[in-house]
Amino acid sequence: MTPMHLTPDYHIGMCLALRARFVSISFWLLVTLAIVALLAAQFSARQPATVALDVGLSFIRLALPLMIVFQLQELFAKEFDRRYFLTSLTYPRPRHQLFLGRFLALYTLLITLLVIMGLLLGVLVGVLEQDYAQSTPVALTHPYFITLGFIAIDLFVITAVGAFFAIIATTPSFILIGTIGFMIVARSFSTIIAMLGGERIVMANQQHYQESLGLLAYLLPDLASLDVRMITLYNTMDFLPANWPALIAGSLAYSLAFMGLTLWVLQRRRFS
Amino acid sequence: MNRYLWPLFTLFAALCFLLASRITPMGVVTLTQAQPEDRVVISAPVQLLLNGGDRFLAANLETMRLTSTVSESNDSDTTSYLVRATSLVTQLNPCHEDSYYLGSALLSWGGAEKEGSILLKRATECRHWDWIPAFFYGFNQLYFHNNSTEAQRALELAAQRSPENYASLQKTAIMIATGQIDDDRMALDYLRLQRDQVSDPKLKKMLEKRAIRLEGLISLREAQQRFEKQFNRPLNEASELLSTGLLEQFPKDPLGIGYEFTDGVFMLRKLKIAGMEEKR
Repeated sequence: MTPMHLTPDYHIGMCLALRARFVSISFWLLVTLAIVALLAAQFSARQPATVALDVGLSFIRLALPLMIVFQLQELFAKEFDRRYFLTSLTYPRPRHQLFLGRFLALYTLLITLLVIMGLLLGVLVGVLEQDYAQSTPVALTHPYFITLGFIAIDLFVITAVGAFFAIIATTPSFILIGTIGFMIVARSFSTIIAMLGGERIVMANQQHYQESLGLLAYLLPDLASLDVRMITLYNTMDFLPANWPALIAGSLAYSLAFMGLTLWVLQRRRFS
Repeated sequence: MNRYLWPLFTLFAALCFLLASRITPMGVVTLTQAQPEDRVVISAPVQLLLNGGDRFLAANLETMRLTSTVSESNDSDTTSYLVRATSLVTQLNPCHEDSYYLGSALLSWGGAEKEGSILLKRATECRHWDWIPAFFYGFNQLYFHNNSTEAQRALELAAQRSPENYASLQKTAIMIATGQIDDDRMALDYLRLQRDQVSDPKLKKMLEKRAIRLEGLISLREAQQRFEKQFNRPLNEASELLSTGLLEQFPKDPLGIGYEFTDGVFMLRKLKIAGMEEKR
């Protein structure tokens, strides 16, 4: 009894994603990750391993959302675009099963890819660290795994929001614009608010901007604080935000709320 | 025939575009050349959005741009660019090691010690386990700002952070407190240490120039001491060193900034950076 046979939709989701060249794209992403991390290390005078790890994590955090968008287009948008729902939704099966099965299939594949990328990056950084003894070595033990775990939560939020766009979208490019737009805003707004609070920016009406941007905190999860890579870059657990249980709970609740909304929309959507 | 028509048309249009862009009015070209060459540093919130909300990536890319493109000519434009680029990185990731290390080495010794000290202060605060920025900061306070209390405090902080260097750092802090330290020699040793610790040959060359600049200052101060011992009166004019034959010529500053003689003391001349003076 493998997980693939848990539900037929999970299995179909896996097959669709693998048919959409998931493996070959993942391979090229891994090759690019290795090149990017090794080249980034060349640019650092004092901390090559830290910069390689830093840029590698940035690459993972940018490449995997693109993979999410691409796979959402394959798993959901094409389903409606090519009218496959005429067969897949006519069985006496509830609609939520199709959504949840494929969502879980996509997330499983993403986590697998994240783990492989994380292992590759860890090995590369470990090799780089042998070359040059840094004054502050990177931490490739539990801080690194915690960082990857937080990235997995970040990806869960993005997948949940992206799946919502995939269900309501009428054109595949809307998924790209919506998901990537959400990602950029959710990852940057809290940092921008913090920067506006500093005295180093010359701007009129600074307070006003800060307050109106602060309203975003009620609409979006703070994905920037899910980026806890400083604990592994500088080997100091102090950089883990003190409210991390609340952060994780909030992000998961946000994703589940979005999934509920998606299911609600999917139940009521009229296909023509 | 028809299938060659569109490629030919495209080629023709491209040629027209190239020709048109060559025949720009000469006035426009000379105007842009006459402008002083300065470099743009995009502000931190915009950089953040351009990098997909990833402040660490933005900090890394800006540091790479800085290390690989900083020019060796040391005019106020270069220093101004360095100040803006390093303070941007500090905003994005204050713990970035390359940025504070390069910034402190190039700024503090390139005539912008105030900005170098601000950079080091932020690095000291963020890298709360690292003794090196605290030591550099204390050194800057002592050597450039003559603030021995702050220097002593920073060195004691550095001593607390580094168990293996605790004794020597603590000793230096006490020597500062009692005023029995030879600033110039210590500065030169320190600059040479910094130079030997970087791997990049270009950066090494830049730090070498700064060491030569400091050697020039030391030779000026030593000549002044010899003058005052020989003639038993304070030196009034820097040119008296040449007329009495104590110096054959003034030392050349490889950075082209030079030295100044004010209130009877030889100093490293400071750079005026446009737009940075009135900000504080």
